[in-house]
Order: sequence, then structure tokens, then C-alpha cells
Amino acid sequence: MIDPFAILAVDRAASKLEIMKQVTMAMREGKHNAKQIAEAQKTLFDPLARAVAEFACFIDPRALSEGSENIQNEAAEPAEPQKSLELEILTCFDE
Amino acid sequence: MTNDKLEQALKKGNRFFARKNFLLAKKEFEIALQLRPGEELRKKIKVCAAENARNARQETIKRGRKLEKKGKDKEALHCFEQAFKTEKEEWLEKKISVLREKLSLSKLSSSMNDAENSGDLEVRIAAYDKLLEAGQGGSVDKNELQEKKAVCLVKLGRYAEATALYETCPPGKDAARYFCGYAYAKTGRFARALAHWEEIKTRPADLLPQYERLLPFAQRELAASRVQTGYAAPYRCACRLAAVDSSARLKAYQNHFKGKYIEELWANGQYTEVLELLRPHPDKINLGMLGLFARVYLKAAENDSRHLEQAITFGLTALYNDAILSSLSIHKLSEKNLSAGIETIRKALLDSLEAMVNRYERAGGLSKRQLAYWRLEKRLIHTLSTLENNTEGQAIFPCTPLFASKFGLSEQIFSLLSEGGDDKDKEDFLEVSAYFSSAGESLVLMEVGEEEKALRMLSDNVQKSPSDNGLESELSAYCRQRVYLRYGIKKALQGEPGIKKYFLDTLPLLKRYPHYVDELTELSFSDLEDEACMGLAEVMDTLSGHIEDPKFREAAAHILGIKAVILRNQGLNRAAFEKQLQRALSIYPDSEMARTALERSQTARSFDEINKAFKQQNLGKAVDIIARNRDPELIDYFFETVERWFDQSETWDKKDRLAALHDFHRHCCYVNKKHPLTEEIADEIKLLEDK
Repeated sequence: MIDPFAILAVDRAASKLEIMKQVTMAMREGKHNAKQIAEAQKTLFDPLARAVAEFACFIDPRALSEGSENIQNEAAEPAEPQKSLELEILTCFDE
Repeated sequence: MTNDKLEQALKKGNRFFARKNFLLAKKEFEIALQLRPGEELRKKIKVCAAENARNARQETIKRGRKLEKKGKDKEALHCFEQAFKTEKEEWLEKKISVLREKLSLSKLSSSMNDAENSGDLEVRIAAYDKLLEAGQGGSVDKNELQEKKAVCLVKLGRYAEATALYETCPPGKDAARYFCGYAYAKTGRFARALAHWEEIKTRPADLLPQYERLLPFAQRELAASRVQTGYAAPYRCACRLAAVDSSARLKAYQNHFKGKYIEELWANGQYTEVLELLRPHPDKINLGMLGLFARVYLKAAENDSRHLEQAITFGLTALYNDAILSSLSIHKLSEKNLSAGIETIRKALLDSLEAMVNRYERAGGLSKRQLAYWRLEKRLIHTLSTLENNTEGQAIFPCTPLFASKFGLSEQIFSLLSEGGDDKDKEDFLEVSAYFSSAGESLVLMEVGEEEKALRMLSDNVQKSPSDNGLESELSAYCRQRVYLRYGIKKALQGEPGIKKYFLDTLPLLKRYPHYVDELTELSFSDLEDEACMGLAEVMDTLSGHIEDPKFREAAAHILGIKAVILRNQGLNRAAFEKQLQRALSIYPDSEMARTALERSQTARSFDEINKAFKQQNLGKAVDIIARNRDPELIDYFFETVERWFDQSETWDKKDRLAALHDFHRHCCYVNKKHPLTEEIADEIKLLEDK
């Protein structure tokens, strides 16, 4: 099965407008042939075909990330200033 | 006197010259020149001088080489330079250049050692630079110098310069890897720092606190990156940390990076590598995991049939799960259309899975076992999905029996089925329930063709947990009967004797579910090898005493008839053969096969008897046999024989012939008065008597 999301470089929640924009972009870039682009667009415009493609093309490994919500929240916060990384040079590697 | 001296000098000079001893030759020629100056002698002296100079140069080069070998580069260089003065040879020029560079590097090396001993990092960097510059010809270990320089840069806090240097010269030793990683960490490239650090083989334990320090930074860095790559090293570092420290925080980091790394591998199409990360499978599974496992196994199985069984188990369970399918982007459909939409999606995805299995089957890449698993799992999950049950609170329902067994869900599903609605009388219910019961695995083994193992499992199961519970006990009996029936059929088709007991134990199943009787019926009418016919006939004979179904009885008579014919062809005597056929007819009197075979046998027997009577010229006995049988073929045979005798009688004398013809006519009248031969004989008698 072709990956229409990858051909048009859209994520699984892409709207019709976004898809149309990406179709134009994909045509310009010429990475894929017109037939593939048209097929991808057709799949994504059909809710059921899109769902089938979505099942086959996306995974969600969050089920494995038990307890990592806090860590992910931390990542969403603004990065700490660079100076906050205090790291001593380990002398054991000094030749 | 002078002439004598001259002669002597010339003579000696020429002799030395001829022996190529130009030194002594020159000396003699010079003496001769003083005694008698002349152009010719001068020329000779010039030749000798040139030859002497050449020899001296060769000696110098030879000495230079010896000195170079001894490591006395400075002295050797002096020799080569001397030699070069007299003749500008190309190789000598190169030699001198190399030696000069070597001497210069040696000097620089010595100054580098001084710099290293000084402890001043800037001085060391300058010394390395000089040496690197001087060593353009490749006579120095450039990588080592660059690594040393990079370490100095890191220690001076000049991290950007250090990383730039590491870009051109990747670290090859653990120490260099550490400083390289450190420089990357200090320039904000944390994931890259961890990638270098995780390759360090020595002293990894010393590094663990620094891994831990970097993990949050690496996470932020990667989360902010547009390109979702580089999770491998943070994941592996987190694993190392979690292996020595079981804190929830580190476990959380490990899980987080694992998830991200899986996404990265998935995006790159590295499905087998994703599977490695999913192993070992957890004891318990939730919907999210089911969706993940199903998708990865389905993708991996597209290119590798080794993953097909897992793809079938996880794939079917996920595709029959409404919650998983309704989480796809179909939520925009109206409530009314949603259910139909889910069914359409399920069908499309199931078709796709089936197409994959068929593709492997066509290509011969599917074992019998895999094919059996596919058919079994597909059939059972479909049946389970059609049964009416209250599945509230059951996250993963329906699922395949293998899935249930793998994740300890069999008991739950079995309980659900036990409480179930109006389907209890259907075999579908019993069968599906059986697969989820404690004896269910025996059915799986049976389906994949491992009946012996299934039998062993059943007997173990009975010993371990003899059940008095109603449904459990019924299912146990159901499983046993199914396995016995399948095992019995298999053995019957192999022509093995002594298998009646398996079928007799199966009678309740055969009586309750006629399709198993139909299966045996169909099998008996099919085209089988002799061995299989013999085995099956024995079974059908036994079962016919308990099963009244006319079709079944007809099949039993048919296969018994075939068995009798096979035995007859193998030399069974006619009486025993006919007895077998009569047994078949006693089971089903209208069996065409048995009856025809019996009739043919009886006719053949009559032919034998009538032939014997003809041999004895005993027409009376022949007529008795015909009267008993009335077989048209036999009657024809009688008249053919009598006609032959009638023709032969033409040569006899009148009296004898007349007596014989009367005898023929009398017996022919017994058989058929109106037969043309009977009438012809009567006419002939009349003719003879009239004469």
C-alpha cells in the first residue's frame, strides 16, 4: 500500500485545504509522479480510504511510554539556558 | 734510463687502468707525464680523475645509507648532500628532502614533548599545529595529533573549534570519544554527545551520571528539532541507566526514548528493528499496545514470512476491535454512518491481510502450519465477533485464541462466553468456547496437524484438572471428541488398524453435529488410495452400527464394497469376498456398488460351474445352474456352447447324431423353447428322421 500521507507530506490530521496545498507543492517538487500524487489525494479525500491508509501508515508508541508524561511536559517547556548544563570533565579519560 | 722509467710508468699505469684501479693508474700516468708531457697522457689522467671522483661519490652515498640505517639521520644527510653536489640526481634530491623533513619533525617532536611537559594547553596547541603543518607529507600520525589538539581545545573551553575538528577527524579512541561527546554537549548537541559516549567501551560506569545529566537536555533538543531522528543513543543510554537504577524517572526516560526511537525506525521502514524493541512481549497488553504491535507485525510480515503468525494474531485481534478502528480519522462521519464505516474499514484491512497471506501461499512461502493458523484464527475470531455477549469492561474483545492464550485472557473470554446469551446450542459457541477453555490448545494443535501432541495434551489435561464443572466438562469432552475424530480419520486414511475406539468415543459428537457424519460420508465416496479405503471401511463398518443416516449407511456400504474388491484383487477367495459384500448390503441393501460387485461375483461363479458341467458334457447340470441364476450372459454362453457341439455333430453317423440332437433339444427347451437354436435343432431332428 502506498503511503499517501508521506507522498503529500501531511500528518494524519491534515485538513482538505492543507492537502490541496501539499498537492500543489508535491507537483512542483516532482519527487513523485502525477499519478501517485493524484492517487494519494484521492485516498485522503475519501474518509474511509483515508482511515485504512491511516491504520497502515501510522503508529502510536505512546502506549509504551508509561510514566513519561511528565518528561514530555518538561520537553514542552522552554529550554534551560545553556549555562545550566554543569558538566565536569571526567579525569579518567585524561591520558 | 729516463726512457726505462717512462716505459715502466706507462706499463704500470696501463695495467692499473685495465684493472680499473684508477687511483694508482693516475699516479703512474702523472709520473709518465712529468717524464714526457703529452696530450694523450693528460686525457688518461683526466679519465682517471673522473673515475676516482665517481667512486668517491659512490662511497659517500654508501656511507650515507649505512648511517641512515643506524638512525644517524644528520650524518647521513651530510653524506647525501655531498654526493648531490657532484651530481644532481632526482632520487637523491628526494632523499635529502625526506631526511631534512624528518630531522625537522624530530626537532618539532622534541619541542612538542617539551610543550606537553610544560602543561600549557595553548603551547601544546601551537606545537600540534606546527607539527601538523610540517607533517603534510603524511609522515606523522595526523589523527593522533588532531585528537590531542581537540582535547586541549575542549579543556580550554573552545568547544566550537573542538567539534569542528572532530567533524573532520572522528574520534577513534574511547578518550577521544569522551572529549568529543563533551564538546558536543557543551555546544548544545546533546543527542550527538550521547551517541559518542555510548560507544565508549572502557569505564562506562563512570559515565552513567553524565548520561543522566544529559538525558533531559537531549530530550528537549530532539523535541525542538524538525527532523525526528537521533533517538537511538539517548534510548540506549537511558537503558544502561535504567539497568543500574530502577527509579521511576529513569524508567520514564527509557520509555519515552523507546517510543520516539520506534517512531524514528518506523519512519525509516526499519520494521524488524522495531520488533526487536517490542520484545519481549509484555504479560499484559492494552489497546494502545495492541494497535502498535498489530501495525508493526503487519508491516514486517509484508517482507518476511517469519512474522506472519504474529501478524495474523495481532492483526486480526486489532482489526476486529471497534475501539481501534474508530480511533482512526473517521470521527467526522455521522453516528449512523460510523458503524458502517468501521465495517468497511475492517473489511478493507482484512482483505489486505488475506491478500498478503495468499501472496505467500502462491509463492510457496507459507508452511502448512502457518496456513492452518491463519484459517483457524480467522474463522474463530469471526465466530467470536458474531456471538452475543456482554463485553462491557472487556477492553480486548474479540480476540483470537492464540492472542488470548499469549496474554492470559483465555479465562476472561471463557467466562464471558459462559455467561453468554442465546448461542449456547450452536456448535459455533461450543467450538469458540472450547478454544478459550483449558483444553483449547489441543484443538489448536489438532488444526495445525499435530494430532499426536493434541492427544498427549488432552491426557495431561485430564490428569491435571479433572473438571466437574458443567460447561468446562462439556467443552473438555467436545475437545477430546474433536481431537479423537481428527486423529482417527488421519490414522484411518493411513490404513492403520485398531482405531475403532477413537470413533466410538466420538459418537456423541457425530450424533449431535451431523456435519461430521457428512464429512465421513463424503470421504467414503471420494477417490482414495487402497490403504485409505481399507482403513476407512473398517471405521465406517463400526460406526454403521450406531448411525442411522441413510446417506452415511450408503457410504459405509460403498466403501466396504470397495474394500472387498481390493481384497479380492489381492487374492481373497470368492466366498469370503461375497461375504464381505453381503455385509455391505446388510448395512445398506440398495448399495449399487456392493450389489453389482456381488452379482458379478455370483455370475463369475456360475460360469465356472457351467464350464465344469460342459467339460463333463453334463448338459443337465448346466441347465440346473442356469435355472438357478437366469443370467442372460450365462444363457447366451449355454447356447453358444450347444451351437458349437451342434456344428461338430454334423460329422457323426446318423444314429449317434440323432440321439445327441434329441438330448440337445431337450435341454435347450428347458432353457428357452423359442431360442433360434432350439428351433434349428428341432428342424434338423425332423429332417434326419424324415430321411
